[in-house]
Amino acid sequence: MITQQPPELIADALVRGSTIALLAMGLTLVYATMRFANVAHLEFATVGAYATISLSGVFIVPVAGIIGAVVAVALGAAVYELVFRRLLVMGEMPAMIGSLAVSVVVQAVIQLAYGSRPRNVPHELEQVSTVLGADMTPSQVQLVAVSVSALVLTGALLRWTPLGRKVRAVAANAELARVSGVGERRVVATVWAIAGGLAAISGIELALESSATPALGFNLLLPVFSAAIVGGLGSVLGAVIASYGVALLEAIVLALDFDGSAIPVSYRPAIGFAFLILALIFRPRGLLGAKVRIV
Amino acid sequence: MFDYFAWIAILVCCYAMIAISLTIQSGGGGMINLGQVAFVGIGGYSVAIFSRAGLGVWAGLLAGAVIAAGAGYLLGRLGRTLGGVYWAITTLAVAELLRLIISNTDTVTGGMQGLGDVAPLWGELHGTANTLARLAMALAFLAAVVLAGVHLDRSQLGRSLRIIRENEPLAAALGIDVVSAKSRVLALSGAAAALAGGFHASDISFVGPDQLLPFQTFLALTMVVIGGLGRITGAVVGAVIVEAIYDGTRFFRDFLDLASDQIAALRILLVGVIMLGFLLLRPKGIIVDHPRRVRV
Repeated sequence: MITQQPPELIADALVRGSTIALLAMGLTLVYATMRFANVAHLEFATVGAYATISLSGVFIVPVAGIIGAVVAVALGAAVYELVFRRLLVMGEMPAMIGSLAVSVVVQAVIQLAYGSRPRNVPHELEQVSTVLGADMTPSQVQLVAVSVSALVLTGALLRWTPLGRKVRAVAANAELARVSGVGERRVVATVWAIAGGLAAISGIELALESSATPALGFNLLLPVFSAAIVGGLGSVLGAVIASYGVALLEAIVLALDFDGSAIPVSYRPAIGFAFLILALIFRPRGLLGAKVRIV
Repeated sequence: MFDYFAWIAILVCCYAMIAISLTIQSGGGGMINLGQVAFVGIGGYSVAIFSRAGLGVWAGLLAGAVIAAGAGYLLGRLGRTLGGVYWAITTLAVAELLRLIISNTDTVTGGMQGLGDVAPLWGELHGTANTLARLAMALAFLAAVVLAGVHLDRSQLGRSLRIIRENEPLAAALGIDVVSAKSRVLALSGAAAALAGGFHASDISFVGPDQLLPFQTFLALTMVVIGGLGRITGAVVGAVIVEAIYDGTRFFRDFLDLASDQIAALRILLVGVIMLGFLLLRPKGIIVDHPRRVRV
């Protein structure tokens, strides 16, 4: 039996799915253009969140948020120049291990500076309002609205602008794009900035909605990778659909009630992992389809 | 002071076993496993559960090794042809899933509190004799794992794994059963990691979900990268260096005016920076795994 009404489930999935989708979209874009599974991608969200919280004492929240996102992207660019550019030359696996190391370092630096206790932007108690039959706080409504607009804008950018065409050309075949006169370095830099910006928005909205801890981003690692992999690494639309799909599945499973014994909320991340493991077992090369098949 | 050094030496032995178990798959098989700590957990928990049920620590150690080997073999079979990135994420997901289940089944695993009162492997001893016995036992376990690792390195399976690492299609074309080789090395690696986990649980008489955090795998991975991917001696050297830095810096709290979570962050930061430094400046590690001539 399901204990919650459909509107509640959908609202829950929208809030959670938007956070995951912003991160998964950037992750999959970076993978598409650079063949780089960046574990440290999640740290854009943490850095953005903490930068915003620090600046919220000085500026009003929207301004602090924008500066926070810029700080995250700038730091990301610096790390790319210093670390990832060299590791990516060595290959896919050294780059992935290196990004894990960067992720560990960023979390440690944040914990060193801010401690491990949750931090948030001081705000007044929020009044729950009813939106389309579901109870949501204003910051949850804001999270969904900002995220969906960012997703749609990025999607439109990729679909209809010359820049988007270049990104898709590099993703399809970097070598062919290069000989056709597409400046690969500029495309890669742009993708890196867009992905970092989207992730930072996700982290900032999450911090505004609840609070930030040093592991804010890292805790989302598996749901985000699940969504990106199930959607087919490199496929932007697939990642977004899979993000909301995973979130909806989580909401439904947690709402299940077997004669009074429900699944504990602490199992929430497990649903995404199980989903990912099953998807990988049955589609070993991801949903993109098998490139090489052993007969 | 002696107890402090003995404590670090025992930890070095445990981590060296885990690092060896990791290096035989990532260095040997070319697979980066981000969830190796799951096998360590299987070993630790089975020793704790067996010991508390009165079935004996050694039986628990054996059971842990067998279960972990089976789990490793199964993982290798299920993972089949997963590419590097997919494989790494899957192993991480499996390990996190195990940690979640352990944290939430209070009746069997003690949940977040973990399990205490695990019997020691060597009966009841006291004082310096006890410390020496534990140290000797740790060295014996490490020696057994090192011997197994060296033997694997020279065996036909070891040679097959090196070819797979360098060029998987070539290995398949040479008639090497890639899936079987990977599954078998995962089974061995799982058993070795479970031994390390089981020994550690019995040594400190406690096992808990915090010992299964992904950072533990990262620590072992750092040892492997620093020592030199694929080399048994490299894994041991890496374990000594990283462990000396990670647990040898606990005394920082004596003269740094920081909260305990900040000290912990500082020590983690050190390990992360060293890992990055090696990846950028000396990616092949201290002991480089050169191609070797083998007699067949």
